[in-house]
Amino acid sequence: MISFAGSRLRFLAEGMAAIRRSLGSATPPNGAKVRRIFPAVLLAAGLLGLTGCWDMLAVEDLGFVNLVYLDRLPNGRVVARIQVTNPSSLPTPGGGNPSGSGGGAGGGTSQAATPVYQIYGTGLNVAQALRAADLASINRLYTGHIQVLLVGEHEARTDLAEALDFFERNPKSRTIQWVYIVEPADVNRILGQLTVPSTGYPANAISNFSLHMESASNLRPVRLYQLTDVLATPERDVAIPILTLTTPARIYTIKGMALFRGPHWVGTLSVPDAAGLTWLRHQIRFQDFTVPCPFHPAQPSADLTLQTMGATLKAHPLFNTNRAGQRLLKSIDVHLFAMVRVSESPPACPVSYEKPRQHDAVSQMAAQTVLTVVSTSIEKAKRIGSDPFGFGTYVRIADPALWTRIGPSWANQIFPAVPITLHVRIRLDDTGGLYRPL
Amino acid sequence: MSGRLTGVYTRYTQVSTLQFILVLMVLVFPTEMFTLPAPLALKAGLNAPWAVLVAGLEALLPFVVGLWASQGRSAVSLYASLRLVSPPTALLLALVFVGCVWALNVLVMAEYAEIVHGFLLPRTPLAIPVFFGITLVAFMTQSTLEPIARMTEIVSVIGLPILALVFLLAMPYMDVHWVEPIWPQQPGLMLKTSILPASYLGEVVLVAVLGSHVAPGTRLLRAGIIATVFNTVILLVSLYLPLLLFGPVHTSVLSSPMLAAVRAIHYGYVLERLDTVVLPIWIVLICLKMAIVAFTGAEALVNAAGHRKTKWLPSALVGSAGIASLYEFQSLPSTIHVIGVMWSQWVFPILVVSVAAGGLALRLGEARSTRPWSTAGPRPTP
Repeated sequence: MISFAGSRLRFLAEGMAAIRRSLGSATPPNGAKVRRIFPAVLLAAGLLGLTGCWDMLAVEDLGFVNLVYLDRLPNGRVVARIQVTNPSSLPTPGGGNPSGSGGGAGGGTSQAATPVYQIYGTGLNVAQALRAADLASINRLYTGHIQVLLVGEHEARTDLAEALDFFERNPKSRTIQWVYIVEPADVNRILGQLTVPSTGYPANAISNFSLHMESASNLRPVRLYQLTDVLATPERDVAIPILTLTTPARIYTIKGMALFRGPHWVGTLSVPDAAGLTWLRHQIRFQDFTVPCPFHPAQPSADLTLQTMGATLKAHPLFNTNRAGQRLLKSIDVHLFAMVRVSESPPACPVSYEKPRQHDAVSQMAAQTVLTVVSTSIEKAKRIGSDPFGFGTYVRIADPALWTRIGPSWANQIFPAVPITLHVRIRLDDTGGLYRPL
Repeated sequence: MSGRLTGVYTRYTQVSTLQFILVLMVLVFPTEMFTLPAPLALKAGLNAPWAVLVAGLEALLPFVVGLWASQGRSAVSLYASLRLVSPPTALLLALVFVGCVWALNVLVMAEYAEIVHGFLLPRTPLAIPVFFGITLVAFMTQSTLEPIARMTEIVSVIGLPILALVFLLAMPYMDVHWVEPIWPQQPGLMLKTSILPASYLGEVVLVAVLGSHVAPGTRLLRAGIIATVFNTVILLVSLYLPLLLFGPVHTSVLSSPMLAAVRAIHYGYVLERLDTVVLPIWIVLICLKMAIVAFTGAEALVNAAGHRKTKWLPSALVGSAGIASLYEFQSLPSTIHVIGVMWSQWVFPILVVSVAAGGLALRLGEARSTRPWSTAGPRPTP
């Protein structure tokens, strides 16, 4: 028998002795030995489950999907174009790559291979299209790392819920993936860009762009789980950014907001018109907006730049009763209050913030600007017949009984006809920034 | 007479007050948090949280019934006492009790297997998670309640803060408008719906047997109230979490709203897919629940039969329940539906009535007995 006692491997001997002790090798009675071994066997059997059983996935066999584009063809079939991470483009510890091309000292990626490769499939529905793409792929497609879901115009106009349903049901995919609409003219340009400088693959670039937009833009990108709940109820409608790629710089940007009624894309708000959305959806946060100088309102170079620090919104539906004693929605009173700081006050606009009148003049001008922006958004949305602001929610909260009656026809009939009165109040906050930059 | 019981209750089986509270909690919350939010939102919409609060009060009734039946004494189970009065009655009522807890284990095993199958291992046959569930529970029930209670203590220390953390992490994504108006709009619907959560929260009726493992001097009623309050709060958190994230309409169509809410939590690129943290803890918790339920059933039977140890009986109960669960259900929604109908409308009422009947039989036997007797015998030294 090998003995480790006295050697550097003494710890092995001690370990084995401990195991022997725990298993009771010191010739205990038969029953006691079984009693000690049985739990160990049970636990060892439990370890078998760690292999994943039928769901075992070998990482070498997987094709990691990071972007999916879905659209409906004129013949009614769904097409899925999928971007899959290209393993041969990944850096290896030695600085080369598995394909042997490119790379070099200090690491790097393949010069020849793009970070992603594309495959596509078609089918009668999303599942079939993805299955067809899966069969066309060398690797087994893994949807657990999808970062971006792009929906084409035809699919968005036909039924957005169908496009989202598959991903929401799939236990592997994340519900936090970004969702964008892509117009037909942009599809090939967006999907044709397989390499993005500095960020690597396109899905990563779009994801970074979305995070940045989420924190610093008036146009908020949306995630999958933020859509599915809204699609389930008529009290608010979905608004999804429309993604495009600028030319010739090839930078991702948002060209507008697609407004939906139920699961159907019914209209579009341009970028300036969509700015009111964030104000009314409790999403305003550290966003800049320009305000005409109170003293030179017609001079663009004198415009002030303000940054929102926070905002609160209160909406009160007002009701009246008709002759039959039936309660009716009269109007909705909206009170918007925002705290802002001055980001930039150009010399062309000589405001003395320490003087209350001039201070108030800036506040009022800011309030007027926000009022115009928000009113424009509401009017445009009314014309489209979509309520992405969620005014229906306020009506439902104020009068659930009335809502059950008017809810189904809210977006296309009631909302466009209801007068909405806006009251905006702006407070210039963060006085340390009012005079001069620190 | 008391000497016949002394072998059953050794000091090793005693659990502390805190452990007992946690055992009563683990008896309830692992199942309620995943399966109840969807049917509650479907049945009652925004009245659901109020239905849960009412259910919390209603659930005290089964607990008091269980306590009354076992005479409110620690160290002695209902069926051990009842055997002293009338062995055939004890055996008959214990069989009813075991049938009910076995049915409960079938339901719990099915729910556990469906969630593992649906969210973790969709391609793996249902029998595999059931097999591992049976294995784990069989391991847990190898000895008495006390090691299970210890395990409960350890897992609760990890699991409950994680539940609180999940709720806190989800707060930035919540929309309070989804749960307005706060006040119940339909009191009738609220009361009607409260029966479903009450049947879950009322599983603490098993105190009629579990109480025998508590250290003497423990205030069982107070422990039961604390456990029920915590169970109600956990159910409220599990309900409000998806309601605040998805609203009542979408919550009602999700197979497991709590898991869907956990999947939606994200912080930049750092924190994603928290379900992979929550699910393993939940699996251990639900296995603990099955172990407690199986052990309670086995204990009732051996007490009624006059034996001293449960031996292989809990494993047999869990094993047969696991096999039955494979043939009983098709999918998680159907399981939830069956639980809603079968458990709350049939099995749970039978369980409570059988325990109450046991208590009544015990009182009657005690009143008819001419000789003084006591079930609280002297404790042996370990």
